[in-house]
Amino acid sequence: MAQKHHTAHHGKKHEPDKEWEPKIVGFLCNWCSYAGADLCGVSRFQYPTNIRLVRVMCSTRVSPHLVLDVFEAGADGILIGGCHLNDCHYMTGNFHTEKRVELMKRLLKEAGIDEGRLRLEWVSASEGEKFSKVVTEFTEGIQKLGPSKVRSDDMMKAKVSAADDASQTFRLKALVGKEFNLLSKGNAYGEEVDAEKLTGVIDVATQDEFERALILELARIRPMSVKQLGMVMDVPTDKILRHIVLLRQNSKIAMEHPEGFTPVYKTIAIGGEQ
Amino acid sequence: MPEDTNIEKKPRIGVFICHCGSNIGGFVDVKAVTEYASTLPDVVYATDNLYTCAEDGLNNIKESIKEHNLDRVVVSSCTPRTHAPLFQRTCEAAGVNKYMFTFVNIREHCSWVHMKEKEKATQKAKDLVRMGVARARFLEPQEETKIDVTPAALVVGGGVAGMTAALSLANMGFPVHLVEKEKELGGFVKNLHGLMMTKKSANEAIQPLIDKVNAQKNITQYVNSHVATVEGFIGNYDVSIGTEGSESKEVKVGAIIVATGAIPLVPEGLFGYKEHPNVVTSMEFEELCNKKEIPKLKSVAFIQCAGARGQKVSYCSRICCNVAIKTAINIAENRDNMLGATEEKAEAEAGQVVEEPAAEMKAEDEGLERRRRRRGRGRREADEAADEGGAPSSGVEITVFNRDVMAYGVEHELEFNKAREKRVKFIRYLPDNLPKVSTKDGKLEVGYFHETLKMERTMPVDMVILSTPLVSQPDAATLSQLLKVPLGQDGFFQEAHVKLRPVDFATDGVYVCGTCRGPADIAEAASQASAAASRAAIPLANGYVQAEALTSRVDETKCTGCGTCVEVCPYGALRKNDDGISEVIVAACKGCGCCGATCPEGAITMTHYTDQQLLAEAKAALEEV
Amino acid sequence: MKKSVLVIGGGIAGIQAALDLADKGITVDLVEKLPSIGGRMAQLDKTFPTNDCSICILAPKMADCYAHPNINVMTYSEVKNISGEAGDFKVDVLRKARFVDEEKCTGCGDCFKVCPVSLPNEFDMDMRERPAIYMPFLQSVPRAATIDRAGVAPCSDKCPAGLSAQGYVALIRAEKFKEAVNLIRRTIPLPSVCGRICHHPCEEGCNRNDVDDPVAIAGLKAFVGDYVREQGEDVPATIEEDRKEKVAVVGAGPAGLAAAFRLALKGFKVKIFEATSKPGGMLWWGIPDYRLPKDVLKAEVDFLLAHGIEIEYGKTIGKDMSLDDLKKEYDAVFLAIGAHRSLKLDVPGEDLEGVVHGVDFLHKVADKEQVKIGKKVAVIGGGNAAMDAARTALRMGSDVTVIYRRTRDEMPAISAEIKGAEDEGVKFEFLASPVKIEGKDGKIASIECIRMKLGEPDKSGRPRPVPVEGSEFKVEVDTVIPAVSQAPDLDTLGSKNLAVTKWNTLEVNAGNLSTNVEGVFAGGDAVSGPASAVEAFGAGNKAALYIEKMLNGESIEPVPEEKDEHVITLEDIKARMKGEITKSERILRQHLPDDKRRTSFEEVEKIFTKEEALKEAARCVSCGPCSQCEACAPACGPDAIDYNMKDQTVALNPAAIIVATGFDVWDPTSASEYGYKKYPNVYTAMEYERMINAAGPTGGHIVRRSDGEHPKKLAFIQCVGSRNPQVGHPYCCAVCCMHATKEAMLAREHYEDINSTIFYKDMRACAKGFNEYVERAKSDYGVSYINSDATVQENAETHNPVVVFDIGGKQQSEEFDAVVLATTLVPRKDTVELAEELGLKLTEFGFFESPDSILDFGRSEVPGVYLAGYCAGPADIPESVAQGSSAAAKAAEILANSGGG
Repeated sequence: MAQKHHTAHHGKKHEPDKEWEPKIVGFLCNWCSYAGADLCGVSRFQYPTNIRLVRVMCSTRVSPHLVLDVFEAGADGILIGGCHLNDCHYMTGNFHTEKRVELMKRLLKEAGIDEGRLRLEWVSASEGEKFSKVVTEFTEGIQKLGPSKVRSDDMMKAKVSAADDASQTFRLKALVGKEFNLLSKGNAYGEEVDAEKLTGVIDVATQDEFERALILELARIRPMSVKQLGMVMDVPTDKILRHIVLLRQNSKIAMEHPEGFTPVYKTIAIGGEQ
Repeated sequence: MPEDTNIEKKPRIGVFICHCGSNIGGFVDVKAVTEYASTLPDVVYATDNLYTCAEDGLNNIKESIKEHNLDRVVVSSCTPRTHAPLFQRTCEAAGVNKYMFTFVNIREHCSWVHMKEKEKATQKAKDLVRMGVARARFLEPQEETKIDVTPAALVVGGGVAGMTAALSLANMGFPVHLVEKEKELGGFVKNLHGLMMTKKSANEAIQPLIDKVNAQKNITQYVNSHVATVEGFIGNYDVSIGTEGSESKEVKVGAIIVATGAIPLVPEGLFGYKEHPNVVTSMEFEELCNKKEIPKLKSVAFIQCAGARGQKVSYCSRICCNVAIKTAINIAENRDNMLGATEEKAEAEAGQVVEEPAAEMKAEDEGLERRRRRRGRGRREADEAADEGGAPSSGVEITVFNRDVMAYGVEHELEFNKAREKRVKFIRYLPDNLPKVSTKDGKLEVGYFHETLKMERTMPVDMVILSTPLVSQPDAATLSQLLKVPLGQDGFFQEAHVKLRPVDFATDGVYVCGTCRGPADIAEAASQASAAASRAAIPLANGYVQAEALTSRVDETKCTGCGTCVEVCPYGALRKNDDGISEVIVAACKGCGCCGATCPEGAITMTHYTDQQLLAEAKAALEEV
Repeated sequence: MKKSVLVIGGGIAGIQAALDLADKGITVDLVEKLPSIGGRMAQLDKTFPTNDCSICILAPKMADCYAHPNINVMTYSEVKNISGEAGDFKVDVLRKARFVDEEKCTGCGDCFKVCPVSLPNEFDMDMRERPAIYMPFLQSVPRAATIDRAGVAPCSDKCPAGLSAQGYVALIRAEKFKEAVNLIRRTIPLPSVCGRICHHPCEEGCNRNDVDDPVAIAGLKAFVGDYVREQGEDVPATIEEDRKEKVAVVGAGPAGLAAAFRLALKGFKVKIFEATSKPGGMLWWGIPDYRLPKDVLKAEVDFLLAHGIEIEYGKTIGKDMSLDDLKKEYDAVFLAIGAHRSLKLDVPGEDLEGVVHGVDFLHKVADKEQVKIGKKVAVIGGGNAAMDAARTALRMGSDVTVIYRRTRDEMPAISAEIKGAEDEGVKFEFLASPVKIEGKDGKIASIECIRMKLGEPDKSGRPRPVPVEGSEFKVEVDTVIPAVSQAPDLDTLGSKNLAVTKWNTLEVNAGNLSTNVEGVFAGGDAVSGPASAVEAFGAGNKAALYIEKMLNGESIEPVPEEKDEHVITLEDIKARMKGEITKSERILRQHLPDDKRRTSFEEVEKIFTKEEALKEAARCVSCGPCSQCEACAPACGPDAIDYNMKDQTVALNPAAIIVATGFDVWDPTSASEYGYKKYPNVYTAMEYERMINAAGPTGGHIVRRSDGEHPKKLAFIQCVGSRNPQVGHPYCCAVCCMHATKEAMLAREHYEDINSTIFYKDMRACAKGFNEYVERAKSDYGVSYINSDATVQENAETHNPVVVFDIGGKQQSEEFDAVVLATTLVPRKDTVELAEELGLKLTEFGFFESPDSILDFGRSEVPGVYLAGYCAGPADIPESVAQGSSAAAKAAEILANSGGG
């Protein structure tokens, strides 16, 4: 099997004789998808045992932080289930979910995690069979992707951690938080907002915030130079430098001058963030 | 603050695992799961029951809480969607706050969906219990908030809907402040000539309602008035009512009903309106009727959907077809001698211009007749029947150009049939081929495309009545902002849910009825009004509102007042306080968590669904055992 | 006293009204006819114009309603006897027994799996089946099962032993053979035997009698007994309890065996004393092999004996032991000695050589004794014994004439027996009675008879035969077998203490079968005189019951058997099936060829094969509909099932009443121009709605009834039956235009290759968002709209419906893969009754009337009674909800002003 090879290569924690079983977490909204999962049970539709379900009142509660932190903890896949669009018990909650999942996917991509590990599905309370199909398909997909590298690859862990941090930055949260309303109701001046332009803005912001978060993540472990960061992150040094300048302005990072060497940077520890 | 609550006092968790007969027990090794549960951190007691929801199972929970001094309870059985309240009540009966209870679903989500994999299902059940325990460790007791309610209401709008709502609440014993911007009650209806489905004049029909409102001591009327400001939330609104020529008045109410009505669209630039004096809107025609100023008529054309269904507005205005039918019947019957000028019937008949049916139309008639025999009266056949049968008894040719006749339900459809019996012609037009109103030698005529004959035709008429749609009040937006309730795309007030909450706003405490919510006939408006009164009476009757403690909580030290949460909350449950910091109106919050997930500063947490609780639960799923 | 409001109808309007009132602190009783609240809305897949999942938004409301502390939800209930006035109504609520404890049931569905009955699932518009114990739908509230039991099936009702015949037929149909046998044995210890020889009054009762032929119930019983035994599945039951008490049973006939078996199962030590050398009594000695092979009887008796029953042959009471001996040694005695003494004809010449009495004759044949009979045999009598004797004599090579004093119609023998005799060549001399037997040389020469004619009915209801004077005639015979009747042989009993009736039978208390001697019970033919085996089984069971009670130290005071349950009639079934019962031919059992029958004692009627049995069992129309097989109770973990549950009446005293009883869907079968039920691929809108529901009968797949394929071209026809004065519905239903639009959109959502066309009269898209919805259907979902009436024909080859319509007056037709009919929504059938009860007026179309339908819609003419939802006229969901709230407001006003609340 493909993932066996993978496991053997990276697997520190995985015993070779124990068949790897994906660990999948599902966040389901109380009103539709959780009810759909219930109906699936009542109807005795079977699905693989890998998924573990967490109930939330609305899929809109599932912040990028919840998802990315759970990925960082080693989840192989995460499913988010909500009501069909326009069916939301809280009216517009799932529209926001949709936008947030787009951000999560962007960040996962930045972190090098296959987007297929995150799935958003609308399951109604009468779609018991659909729920079993979704879980079966998703589990099979994760089987194919193999175990998440987060558990075995420190760089990957750092990247996911950075993605998590990026998702919690004011800029991304504010942008994505407003995204649905901007598109559906226009901006504060009542002007229509161009969806494509907005996507462009969010794309750039996501990349920037991710890179900055990763710089902080890497430079927290040990001081690094711009060049080193550029190499590790595979980002042009001039861009790294721009990030560093901004991070220094915001007192997130400090320059250190080891004698006889190029300047290196170290993340400033903030209270409680050790 | 919530982060370290549990450090001080070590949790004492009891875990109850249900066999549900063989429903769980048959596919999951419940004993093994129970044994495993007892090894989990902070679990001081774990047991299994054949039926946890049965009397002895519930007693077992109560006794165990006492015996083992449990401060939180995990029940691992079926779905919380049906059974959570039962176990929560049991916990509370034994002195454990209901928010210290966690439900783990190992039936619908485990034993029933993994019936062929007992070992894996057992492992999953263990994981699910571990997740539940992990969550339980971080639970906190919650108090459900009770908010006092001022048992009085404000009704905005003194038309049929507003009066009906006010009267109903007043009849239940609540003081009502009824605000009407015109100088008298009656709204839209008082300007009508006659009502549908009744032979009474509009004034006669609604006068009893006005009398009742006048006689009801619980109603305070404010005419020539408007709502100036509104502050507060459900149960506690401070309203300032501005009255023309006098000082504004402050009232305190617990609930608000919006019943501000609608107005007819003025069809500027459509169908020769304003270009010819005899092109009038149906509302103007009503006024002419009232004033008895209808000119001599031999032929009248109604044009339906004048401005509606994709012209100036996208929607169908629901009532115009039935108004046209009513008016057409009135004309045909020459009701109240409304056609005083045409009373010399003989003259009318003499001067009648009846088109000779074209030859090809006669050929069609045979086909029509055949079908009529086969299936009874169909729609178009009846129209043609009007063609065949000569002039109506009133001597006036009446034609209704329409797209679809919206004579829904029982009474409207019967009226529609009656109109056809009275030889009112209904001619369908398509939106890409609108009837054209023009003048020839100073005389009005309507050109239209005959769909059956596939040819353009012209009809001379004395008057064209344009059925224009109802549109929202010009000041609806102002009121919507005052009350923080939304307008829909069409400018009407947007109810909380189109199906199940037709007269509620998403924001608790504010309700909506009548045509300000969308076009409706009088019966529907009145029905909605008494529905809105029923909804508004709930908090008023209780004297308080109780909110489930699933709400958001703002950390004032983190909030920077960016306002994103206020924007995304669909319930208006967040507002900025005097310091520019967000605060939660607990009574209005439904606990969806949108604001929490959005807050750019991470300043908002959701009670009972904190990040810590959810992450503990989710991450516990990933532990290697 | 706290005032309450009664809400009738648990659909969305009723739920809303109840919640609105309860939330104000007012107590509400919500009465719903069906086992679950939810109404029509629960049947919908999606709701327009947002395409919300219907159950997603409804289920939380149902749960809220049921769990609300101020609402008492009474499902499966009906209101009766309404009186009083606003502020003080008096109402009885009939809470129909659901036979399942609502509180205990967890809704797990384990019982559904064991129920053998299949019924059309009304919730799924009969498009799939459900068991007799069921929940209407998986999200039902309360989440509790209901047993659909309307009464007792006539077959079960007619069984003298009280066996649930419908039960084992249902179990056989469900291929639960072992369970079927177990059920039979609870009453009839010898299924194979009983199935062969029973006179099956069950079949006389069968409701199919008035349709075609009754279900072959007895034949099925014989089949299943044989089948299970032959498969080796017949394993004796384990006896849980061990009782010390000893019971003596005298006689190993059906009554004795039944009692012995029943008592042995209870753990008592049972010993049977049998006078002859074989078990079975009359079953062995009186019934010839061609009806009941001895090995079948032996095998079944052996099975019974395997439950620890001792048997001693050749022990005659009064001869080998006395009743007193038995009484001393045993704790109870059951006398089941049968009626083996042939009654005499009482005519001269009965002592001639060549006269052999029926029972003796059959006994000897059974004992393989050489019995000499002559060439020409006369059998006297018309009962089963006479038939058995005649057919036996025939097989011995004789020419047989049966002489009977009435006509064929009055013969007490089983008709199959008579038919058998006729087929085999037995001659009949009806309306004749022997006067004397004439002999020559001490041997019979002839029998002289007299003609009879039928007179007034006698006590048995049969016409009394009256001799016709001077009509004597002679039949030349050399053997006469009188088989007129038998009596118990009490002379040998040797107990003077036992009371005897004037008919020379044992006298017992009919309620408990106790004799006048303490500890001694009696039953079977010895008590009743000659009767059927099944009656004897019943007597044995009854004796066992009271013997057990006695031995338990309980009172043996007879407990009257309750039999007040309604016996299901054909009309009941037709009403349930909404139409006639489909005819299906009774499966006939194979017969031994006639020529072979005349010479051989081989079994004449062949037992059903498994295939035949399944086919025959499938003819059962499930009268009950619950078959009372009692399979569900053992399957229920939480012990929620209670077969003894009774209907209950709850008295209410509401201050106001809200009526919200909803609507029915008109059945368009009678409107033949639409081809519904005639063409397989024509559906009603409600059927379609269930079909596209993911939890529906097809799992959300749209399929053609003819071939299971999904249609690619769908047509929707509007106003089927509505806006049509000819069928009495001139009105518009107000919801179908949008409903069809929604259905067409959903079709495209399910399958990208579906194209829909809607044929309509006026597209009444006239509420908020509706016109936009229709425009979206056109632009985004490719739905076409054609303004035309339409009718349906069919391409017989493809089963494709052909829609005939007209555009511009020109008739056109187009073939579709399936057609969906928007049928009229009509008031519920029971509306008239309820209106009468409440004193309400109905409109000319049967909706409840609001006198002021303009400004005060929903207020009925009876003060304190309010209306909401479709029962008061066409309304969509939001209107129904608003009306529910509106009715609640009106009720709340009454309460506020009547000093309660």
